[in-house]
Amino acid sequence: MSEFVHKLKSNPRNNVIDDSFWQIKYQDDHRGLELIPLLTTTIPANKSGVVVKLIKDHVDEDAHDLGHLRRIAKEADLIKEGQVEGETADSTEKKPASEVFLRVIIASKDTEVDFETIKAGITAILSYEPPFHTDYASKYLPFTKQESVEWSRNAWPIMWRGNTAAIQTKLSDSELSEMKQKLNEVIALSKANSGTKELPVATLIVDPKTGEVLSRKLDTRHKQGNPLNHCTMEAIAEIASQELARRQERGTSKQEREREGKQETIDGEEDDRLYLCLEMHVYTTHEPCPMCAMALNHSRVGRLVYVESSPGSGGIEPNSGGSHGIHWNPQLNWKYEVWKWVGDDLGVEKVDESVNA
Amino acid sequence: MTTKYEYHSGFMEEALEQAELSLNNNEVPVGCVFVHNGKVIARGMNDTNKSLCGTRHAEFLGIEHILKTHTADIFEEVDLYVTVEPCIMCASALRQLKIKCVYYGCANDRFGGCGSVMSIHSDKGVDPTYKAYPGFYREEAIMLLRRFYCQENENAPTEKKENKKQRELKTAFQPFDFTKYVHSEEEFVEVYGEEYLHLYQESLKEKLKETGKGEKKRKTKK
Repeated sequence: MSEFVHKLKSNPRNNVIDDSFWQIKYQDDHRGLELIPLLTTTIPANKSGVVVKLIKDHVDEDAHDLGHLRRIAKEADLIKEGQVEGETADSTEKKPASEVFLRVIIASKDTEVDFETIKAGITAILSYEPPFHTDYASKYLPFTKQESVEWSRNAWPIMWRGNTAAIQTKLSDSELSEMKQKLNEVIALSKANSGTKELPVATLIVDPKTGEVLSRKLDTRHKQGNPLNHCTMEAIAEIASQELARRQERGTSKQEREREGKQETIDGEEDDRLYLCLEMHVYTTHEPCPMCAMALNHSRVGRLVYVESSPGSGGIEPNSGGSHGIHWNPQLNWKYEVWKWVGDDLGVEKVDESVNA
Repeated sequence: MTTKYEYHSGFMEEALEQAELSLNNNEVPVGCVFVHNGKVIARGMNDTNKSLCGTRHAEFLGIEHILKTHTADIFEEVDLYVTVEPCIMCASALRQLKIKCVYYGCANDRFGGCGSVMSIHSDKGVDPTYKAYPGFYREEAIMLLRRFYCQENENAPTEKKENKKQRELKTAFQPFDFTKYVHSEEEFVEVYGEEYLHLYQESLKEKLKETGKGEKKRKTKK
């Protein structure tokens, strides 16, 4: 096993199930504590409503996403090591005793707002100038609850409501054995190209409900004289042409029924029409190139499983090609799960790094 | 004498005709032409709805037409004119074919692979990079897309139809930021011609105004 895979396996966050399948997510899911400076102020609890409203009116949009932070923290919770003291903490503090004091986020310091106006506004509300501080907060939502607790101890408190990016996808034992069986099937198919000028690359598209293989494609880009005819593109096209034929067949039989004066339609005829490759599972021998990875996105597949990484040309893994992570890009309107085989050697033939598998 | 901008725009007009055709066929209106030695050698229009296949983009139809009569190495001498920025899939396909250059109409903020969402044409990869230049008949390309999204889709469920009827055809345009896609004045002049340098300079001015605003605010903060 390569050193790369071993390193990933040793990191518990990297989602390896049963020592054999590694779930690849967007690389930004795995980031540590990175701090951003905040401008905050200390105010009496009974004034927090008005002050928060004033802040909201002045700060349209913060430079950072602060959705994971508490807007207001208890003063007592904030005395901790590593805390940077306020710029004007020693300024005129005339707060009456016996009141409860809260510390409120005005905005992150990178935000382009007129801080002086806001400070003046708060001073006017309180009728005295409160202390303003620079506090530090985590730039990102943590990955785990444990991380949230730890980061809140070292920086501004985090509001932990879970992180959907961190939810580990569960695979049942039967799913695991199904995935392994389908991988062996796609590898067996790829062997047909051994010793020819074609690539030892193959793709299966599977209906996840029945386990039925709907398309089985071996790479034949050389024979076809089209360098873009990758087996994954061909498998997607085959699903479409099967559906087209099915609809045409049905259209014909519907017309025949109508000619015979039969009005009834078959139940569910419209409902079971396939939409692209919606939620289907795709098995390939090699990590797909950006073209194929995006074709799977356009086709709305649910899951991709493959064996061999394509460090030069791949469109999925954080360390492949241009680090695109096309299956899990927050800017795209569809995501699909990806599992890479990291178990025992299944005998997939390697291809040259300069090849788009 | 035709200017550089007019030269490229002439081919873009032919790509727009293809986009118009795909609109009439109830397809997302994107069209393209492939140009070799100053001649159009293939045309393509989007075909995803009719084929039920999400990968039948205009570029692929044109590419397949060319490969019927040529070997793939011809693409090293072929330019593409396409009304909308190639998506990530097409941008990768064009790079694998070693296309000479890509000229496009409007940016594609949802799927664009030549500078908008990703920069597949120029980032790390195994195939040679290529240049991609936006802004030829940009507004016409956008209007075609807007017309498509306003027109009724007969296959859509009834409630969706009603929603679409309420959609108004907008005709205003946001200013286009050339600086995001073209990295120097020299390069801009090289592609678009001296006469159109003002377009780039307006983008630059707009960008400076934005950063200037930031600077000023940061100063008042202190």
